[in-house]
Amino acid sequence: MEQESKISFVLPVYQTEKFLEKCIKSLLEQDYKNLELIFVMDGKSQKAENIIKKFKDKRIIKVLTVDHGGAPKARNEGYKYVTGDYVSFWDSDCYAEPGMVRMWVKIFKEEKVDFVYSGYRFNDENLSFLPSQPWDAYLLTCGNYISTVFPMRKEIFPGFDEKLESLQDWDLWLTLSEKGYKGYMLEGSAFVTEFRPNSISQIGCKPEVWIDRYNIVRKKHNIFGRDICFSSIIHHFRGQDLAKEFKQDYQVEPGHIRNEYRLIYCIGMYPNQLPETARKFSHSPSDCQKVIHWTGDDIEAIFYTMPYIQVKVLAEALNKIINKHFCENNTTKEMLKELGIESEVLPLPISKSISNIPLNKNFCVYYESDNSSKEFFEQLIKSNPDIEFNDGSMIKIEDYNCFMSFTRSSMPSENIKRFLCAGRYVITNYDMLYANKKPMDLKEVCANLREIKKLCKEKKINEKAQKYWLEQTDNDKFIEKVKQCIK
Amino acid sequence: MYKVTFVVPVYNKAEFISESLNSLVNQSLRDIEILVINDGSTDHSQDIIDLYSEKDDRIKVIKFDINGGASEARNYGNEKASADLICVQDADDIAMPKRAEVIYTKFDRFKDIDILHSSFIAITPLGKIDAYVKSQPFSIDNVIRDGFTYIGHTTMAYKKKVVNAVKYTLGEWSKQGIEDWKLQMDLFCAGYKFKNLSDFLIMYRMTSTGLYANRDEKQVKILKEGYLKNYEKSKSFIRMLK
Repeated sequence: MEQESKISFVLPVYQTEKFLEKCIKSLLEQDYKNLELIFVMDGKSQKAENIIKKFKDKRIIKVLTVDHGGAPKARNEGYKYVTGDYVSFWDSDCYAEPGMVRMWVKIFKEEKVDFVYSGYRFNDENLSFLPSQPWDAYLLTCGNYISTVFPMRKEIFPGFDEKLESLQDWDLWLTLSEKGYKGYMLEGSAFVTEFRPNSISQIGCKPEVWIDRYNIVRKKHNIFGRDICFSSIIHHFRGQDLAKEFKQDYQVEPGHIRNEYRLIYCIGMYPNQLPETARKFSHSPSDCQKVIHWTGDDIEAIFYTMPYIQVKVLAEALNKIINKHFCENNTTKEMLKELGIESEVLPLPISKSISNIPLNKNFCVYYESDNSSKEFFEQLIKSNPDIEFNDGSMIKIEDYNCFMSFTRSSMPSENIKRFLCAGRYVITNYDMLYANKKPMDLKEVCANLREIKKLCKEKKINEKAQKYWLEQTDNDKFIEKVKQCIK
Repeated sequence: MYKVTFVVPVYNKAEFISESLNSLVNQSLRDIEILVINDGSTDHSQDIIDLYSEKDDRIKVIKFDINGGASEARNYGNEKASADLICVQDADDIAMPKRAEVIYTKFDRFKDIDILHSSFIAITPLGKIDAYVKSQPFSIDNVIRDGFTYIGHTTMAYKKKVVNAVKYTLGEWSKQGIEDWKLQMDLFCAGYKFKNLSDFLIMYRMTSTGLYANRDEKQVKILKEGYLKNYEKSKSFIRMLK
């Protein structure tokens, strides 16, 4: 592989001597060799300098010492010596995964983006993985999902804001995003980091302090009016889409710091995720309205997998804490009523922007199954080796041309509607207008899939379905109803 | 030179052919020929076959425009096979990875044997294991008593010269889907030697559609009884001659 582009690493060193050797090794031993390391001693450290000296590598081009003034200042100082095409402000307690730099350069070349990022792992027992989020400028305004260490084109670096006490990374990526620069998420993990609860970024981690720090960055970037926070269980896109549509916040866990939201709107409530759901509502102001939106499959799962007495106790607890229950359809409403939970039918809106997503060039199917259809799908996948199938929680509609749902649930998944609005083809055992209703018969479904594949190859979208279902969605009514909850 | 030829007739098996071909291209014995005969399929079977034949030049594809039935397709395939040994495989069955290897080495060891048949695993249409069926030696007494040969057709492997001499019967036998029974009996009567292997070499899919669905049991009975009666007669005739 050509190794023309040079990557520069700027590494501030402050009380990280213990990890320094392993960190430097992980960078110098990358199979992509064209890189340079610039060390900035954030306060003099003979010990660290000795460690660096041991590496007699020409690619360590500079070791400079500045008065202790925090990592942002040290990074800005180090940047002055950068000679590479791309710059990464590396942390000295992070170990790069093999092949990381090579992948970065590849993405810069192929995708023509301004910065590249990915998830990473913690150096704990399980090397637990912290995933990131595919690039989305709006979602960045809801919270940071890109670590400081990721590389950007050298010339776009705006400098770290030394006035900020923390969240300089969020500030940096927001600044770049506002200038129109674009990021790209690489799948997988880029590095392993030492998890140190007492490291700098965690000091003063009291909720009160954090909310102030957040608000400083929000103010700097004119992020206002985020009274509502959407959050979703399992399918992240549900909450994300709503946040984008109505210019509100989206958080995976709004309750992980103290917040000032006036309404937290949680979509879905699954029996195996009850603690996660409860955490979403913590740390919010006392007058914050707590809303659950029942999607249908969730209440069914609760009904069928939990002992009835527990379900009753749960329902009582919910009635005490939750201010308002919305639900997707009448069946769900009836089930909730049986438990003594009063709810209002308010179907989730579907973003109109969904109608502009072009078909994927590769024919790819997203499917939903349960125990009754698991075997069927396993066989279907084996029967069609030229078609890519996927299930799971990450649905990006742009990746799929077809959606399949065979479940025993009494109500159709609301994903069907989403896919129809996007002009996709749907094969399902439910009665839905402009979806292909099919029995779970291998031969029939295989043949139907082929027909759909042919249509997609001719770039024909499911126009009738799209027209009909888009007309059915009334987003203004939805947000009006939600806002009415706020006192 | 190929050591074993698999003859795979395909008639509207689009939903299963992929798994079947996959099990063949992944055989541990690499010197095999895979003769796929598309017997006038009207579904997308050909699309799936093309996927595999483009990637693997051991796959030879023969296409018939009109469906002529399994017998005709097999006879044609058996003629065109380039190897001396032929394995039977249906388009919805899955061969175990060592099927070809075992067949090849066993024929090599038992030089006087003409036909091998093995144990098989019965699977449901969705690929779930239903039963393990052990092979048993061919016995004419069983056939006369029960009417069954107890040889899974799809587990069979034979020498090419054998099936070039005795062919699958067309017409009513094929229509009723008992051309395999007829062939097995014909081979036995012609004096060829059978041997059963205890190895489970294939997964046999029991589909609800296909020939068994429209089989006329009465007609099958007439055919089989007629055959056996004549067989008895010819046997006593031979005995008389002795």
